[in-house]
Amino acid sequence: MTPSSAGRSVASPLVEWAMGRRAVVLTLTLLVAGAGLWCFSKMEVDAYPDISAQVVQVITTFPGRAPEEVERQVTIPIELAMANVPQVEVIRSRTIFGLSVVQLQFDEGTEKYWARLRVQENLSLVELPDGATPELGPLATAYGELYRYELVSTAGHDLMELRTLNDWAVITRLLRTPGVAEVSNFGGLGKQFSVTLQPAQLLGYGVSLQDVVDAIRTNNATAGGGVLPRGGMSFVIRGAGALLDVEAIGAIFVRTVDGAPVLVRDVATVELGHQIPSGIFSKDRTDEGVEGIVLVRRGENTSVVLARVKEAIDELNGGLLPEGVQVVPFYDRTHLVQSTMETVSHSVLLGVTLVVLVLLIFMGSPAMALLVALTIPFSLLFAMVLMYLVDIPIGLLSIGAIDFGIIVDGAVIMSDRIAHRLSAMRGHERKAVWREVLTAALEMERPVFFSMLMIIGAYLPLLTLTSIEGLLFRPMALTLVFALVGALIFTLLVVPPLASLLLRGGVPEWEHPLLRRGRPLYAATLRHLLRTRWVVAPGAVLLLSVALWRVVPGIGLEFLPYMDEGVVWVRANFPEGTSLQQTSAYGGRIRELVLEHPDVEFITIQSGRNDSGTDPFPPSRMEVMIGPRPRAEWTRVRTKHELVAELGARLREEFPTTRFNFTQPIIDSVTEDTNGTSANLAVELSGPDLDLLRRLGQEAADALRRVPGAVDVAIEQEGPQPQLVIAPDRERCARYDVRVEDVTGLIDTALGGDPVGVIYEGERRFDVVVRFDRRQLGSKDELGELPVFSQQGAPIPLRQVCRIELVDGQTTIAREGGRRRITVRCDIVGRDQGGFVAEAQRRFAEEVALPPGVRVSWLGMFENLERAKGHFAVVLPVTIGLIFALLVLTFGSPRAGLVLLLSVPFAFVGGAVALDVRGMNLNVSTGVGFAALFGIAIMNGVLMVRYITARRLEGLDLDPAIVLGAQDCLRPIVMASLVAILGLVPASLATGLGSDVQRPLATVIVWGLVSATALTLLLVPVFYRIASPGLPPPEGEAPAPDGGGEHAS
Amino acid sequence: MLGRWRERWPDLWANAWMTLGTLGAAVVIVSLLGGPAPADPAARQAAPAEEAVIVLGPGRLALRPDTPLAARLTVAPAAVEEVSRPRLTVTGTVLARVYAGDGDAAERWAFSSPDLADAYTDWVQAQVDVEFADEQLARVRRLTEVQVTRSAELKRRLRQLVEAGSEAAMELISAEADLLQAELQAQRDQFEAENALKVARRARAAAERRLRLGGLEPLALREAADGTVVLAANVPEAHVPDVHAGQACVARVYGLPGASFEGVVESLGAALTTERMLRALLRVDDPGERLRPGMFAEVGLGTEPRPVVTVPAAALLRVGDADCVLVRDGDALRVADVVPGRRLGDLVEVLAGLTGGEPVVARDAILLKPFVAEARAR
Repeated sequence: MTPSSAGRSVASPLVEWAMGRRAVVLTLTLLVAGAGLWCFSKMEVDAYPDISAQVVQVITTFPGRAPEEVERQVTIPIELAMANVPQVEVIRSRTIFGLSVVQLQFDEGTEKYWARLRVQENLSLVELPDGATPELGPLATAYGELYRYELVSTAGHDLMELRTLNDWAVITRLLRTPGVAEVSNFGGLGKQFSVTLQPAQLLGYGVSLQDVVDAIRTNNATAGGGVLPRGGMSFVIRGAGALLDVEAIGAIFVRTVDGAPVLVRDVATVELGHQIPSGIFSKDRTDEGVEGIVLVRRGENTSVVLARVKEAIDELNGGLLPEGVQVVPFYDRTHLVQSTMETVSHSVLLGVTLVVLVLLIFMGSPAMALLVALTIPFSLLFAMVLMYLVDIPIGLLSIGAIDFGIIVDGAVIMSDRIAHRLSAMRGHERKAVWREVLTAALEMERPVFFSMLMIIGAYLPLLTLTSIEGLLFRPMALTLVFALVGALIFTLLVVPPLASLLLRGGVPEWEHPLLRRGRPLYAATLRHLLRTRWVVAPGAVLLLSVALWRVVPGIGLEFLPYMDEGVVWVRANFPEGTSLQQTSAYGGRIRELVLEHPDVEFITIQSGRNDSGTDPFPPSRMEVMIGPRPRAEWTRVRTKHELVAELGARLREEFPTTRFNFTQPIIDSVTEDTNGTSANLAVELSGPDLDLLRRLGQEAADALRRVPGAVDVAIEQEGPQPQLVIAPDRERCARYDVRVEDVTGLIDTALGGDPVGVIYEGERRFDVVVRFDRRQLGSKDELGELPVFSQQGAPIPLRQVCRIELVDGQTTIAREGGRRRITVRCDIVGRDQGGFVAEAQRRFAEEVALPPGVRVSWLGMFENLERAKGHFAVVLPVTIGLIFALLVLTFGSPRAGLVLLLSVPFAFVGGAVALDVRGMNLNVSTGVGFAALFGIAIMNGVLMVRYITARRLEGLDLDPAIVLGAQDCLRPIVMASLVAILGLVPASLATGLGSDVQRPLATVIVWGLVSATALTLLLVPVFYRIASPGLPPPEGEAPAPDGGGEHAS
Repeated sequence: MLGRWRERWPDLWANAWMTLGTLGAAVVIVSLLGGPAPADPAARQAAPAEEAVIVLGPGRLALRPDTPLAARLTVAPAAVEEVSRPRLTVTGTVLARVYAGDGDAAERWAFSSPDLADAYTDWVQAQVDVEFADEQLARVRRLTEVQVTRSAELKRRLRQLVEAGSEAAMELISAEADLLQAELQAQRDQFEAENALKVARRARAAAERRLRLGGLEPLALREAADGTVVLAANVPEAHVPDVHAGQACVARVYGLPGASFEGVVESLGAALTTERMLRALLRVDDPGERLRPGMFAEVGLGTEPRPVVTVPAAALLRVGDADCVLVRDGDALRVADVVPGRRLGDLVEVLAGLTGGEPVVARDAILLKPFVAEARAR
């Protein structure tokens, strides 16, 4: 028995054409494969797609100013200037001592250079105070940190020398590497030429600070003097007055006293010094070192750039650096990419192996198995051509997400039909084989076409995903669509011609013994179910409802599954006011503790912030990177989660008053950029009064701590810290004839270390600073003794004209949308995000009373979850609607469509049970899995209805037609389902790096298909019988089906 | 038989492949199932540990004793130390010194500037002039007294003679005129001598004023001895109450690193300078003659040993608007407000709030800051 080809699709002329030009088709196939291989060689390979938002940063240094001042004079004017920049989603800012970072997040899809140009235009219109220097941040995202290194010396180079080498040799070389956006330095001591004033000498000679500063400024200049002609020659004239070294500075003339010249060295000690460090880097057992962080430009091919960076490093280590100095990398995205690719390759390889083995099991013919299996490489290479054209990298969420079982489903059905026809042939005359193959192809092209179309259609709504989930899963959806299109082309246009060549000798009649024996049992079961359909159907619906009701509420909700990046990233916040050196000292203890763990390979600590200003952190903050050993070498823990749990417990026990957050570098930075926080959940309170917001934040934190599952609840922005405020008393200044400008000049220059000049050593430039001896600045009183000079040159102690007091000031001022904000963050452990948030919101509403003018928002991963939930609430029904429309188009009968839609809840319940049994949560990954599952699950039902319809068109009554038709499609359904299921089993069981995203998706599909297949085989016939849909009108001249007599009841 | 084999061969072939495929699939699936199970995400992070620090009440904390934090905190008594660190450090200049040699020490003064030297010379000269004028006045007085007495005696004797009837009336008249003349001359001579003395005294006062303007106290210069060095320290107006005569002091100079010279405040200037400074005159000892007039010095005033309470700098916390330390009080820690003074190396002077001997958390107190803030807020 064969299903009748009731109608043809748009592909049928193409099938005929392909069968008529087999050589052309096969040549084209090879060409496409070749193109795919070429594209593969050129494509970027990355673990995850770049999920960071399009962000432009405006970084402004305003040295020596308190956060309140910087906010008022810099941050707010910049925010106002940026308010009308188009396509901006949100403006956030963070202001700390001497630094303002305003971040504009653009709408998804905004072109990066266009965005920067708009910001630059508006920035040029902002009036900022003298000393405030704004610039745009690098054209890189949080995802772009792909290489970190330490500059190491075995020849005794000190921190200043290493820092100088890093700034002027290593970084300059790396910046010349195409694709590198920025290289940040962290740690080390920045070299300066330091003029340390001796107050006694100054006062003795009657020389003021300004005299010394002016002397240095005016005695450091070069000049150009035109040209001196002499006969036939000419000489360029130049004046060489630039300072060259310490001696030259010391010899600068300041003024004359009693006829004798006073030089700088008479009133100050001139020597090589260093900048006040803003950050300290330490690694393993080295307390202080120099680190470099390489950022790739957004949009570049990370694997290519990484290779170039490594070349540059090899070049540096090969002789460009002094003897004994080496660049030693400790974090390299290559490891993540390689490990992830290993996981992906492992899963894919096993999946493909299982698919091929299943084909072998059920077809019993290597030729047939090969015919079907060739779909895999072709669809893959075809997909690569299209991925290359639309710039999708090879990675976990593109190639790694393909279920090759689904890819071959169409080919399975097609080749099964071909095999069936050929096995029924008498004789193997070539032309007859060709004819039978064509007939089989034309019979199956419509169901295959529409089935594949349904699967493709199921993925299309995923292309509407936005933000992080869109950036993660749109490439996956596109890749799958490309692969399915490739598979469809191969199935319809290549499988028949290939089959006609490979199977010229015919196909012996063979069926798997289990199927052969199971067929009568299946028929009997079906007959019984049909007879009791009015009990079975409601019973099935009831069972489905009960299963859903019991299982679904217990499944947790989260945004994304844990995406392992290999390393562990820890943020630690010590109490406000902790000095940089103290933070680094605590870091030493942290390093000791972490290195005690046998499964840890390295640890680095960044205390404070980098020098480029892109990370506005106070000195009390620390970022820790912990590199585990390769998994195969682990002796104490089995998984990374256990490692994190053990380390977290140890650190929290050692420093119970310190806030630790365990996360990962990429996702941490990306979500911080996108959502303003990297926490699972954050409560944002915004308003004008920071003290009020902080008080409310404390109440919110107290409420959140009592919600089960809350961990590391804390206010994200550091609290107030003491500031030493030197405020000129204008009355006293007037009395002593001291200008406020002179007071601020003293603070800027002599205390703050503002540069007063520059010295060039070859290509390198170093600042000249003038300041008082830091040893004299040990207390407020000593600071008060510093002399500020009156207009008459009389030295007046600072405290005589200023109020010097310790007051509490803000450490960090965070803003969003033009309002100050405080963020209470917390992470969630041991329960799902959705449930946690619901309870947290309830407690918050009960326990925290918000005064007028204060707004609250719920952010973090939770925000993404809400958005994704809303999106999927639309996407899934749309998917189902799309499938329904295609079903109606296929069968011309809404009833048939409705019957087939029953596969959807059957599939859903299987997937939901899987999540419940495996303890997984519903997240975007599983949502994508469900969307894909629905399309795939329908396929079996389509086949079944197809075969039943064919039997009915032969004239059989409904019941016999149902039983026979179901038997006819038993083998293809079982085969297609098994390959689809087993193709993803390796991914659903994988545990390597990168498997956390694949696993939920694969689990849902695998288990969902199991339930869908079982219920399709047993219940779709029953519901079909109940619905009794009409037959489609015949179209064209479809060949009459034949054979199948042994299956007739 | 061959025919049967030929008939059954396709089935056998297919069954063989089926068996192979089944075995292969079984191997793959068993290897998959034998791998490590994925971890429960709930094990991602440990549950929070029991609180290591508890706020007992206003200004009181307690630490769980068996915690690493408790082990980390070091308690040390607030020390009472005798320090002779200056209360005030100002700038100054070496004004003058006496070099060793023969002769009167007063003649071996060297000064930091020609003006001072001139002022001193003038002052010495004025001293001499005053003395001379004083002596002259005394002599003039004696002389004039004698002259007047002689004239008066002559007049008396002539009067006696005239009264006795001698014809000395003309001589008497002449004697009377001489007496008047002598008296007049005596007045004139005395006036001139007194005037000369006044002028000399004024000149001396002017010279003293010039010396004082130059920073030197004449009285100090009188008591010259070998090795005497006089420094002038410039005390800013705001610190005038902190300085008094008799204070111990120490001086250091830029040109002699590591050397210090001890002395005492001799006197304070009578008025502020135009630069709003009060000159304090110091006498220091320099037997090695290393100090030279004109050298600029850093002067520490108030170096008398005094007891100060000190705590390690790491013990101090700034919380809110006050500085505090944590004092161990039985099993608890008490927040004690203090007023910090100057730094003494790694120590900080405590001006108020501690009396000395209290056991304070000497290290890592910063780690307790959030709890201190909470305790203070209660």
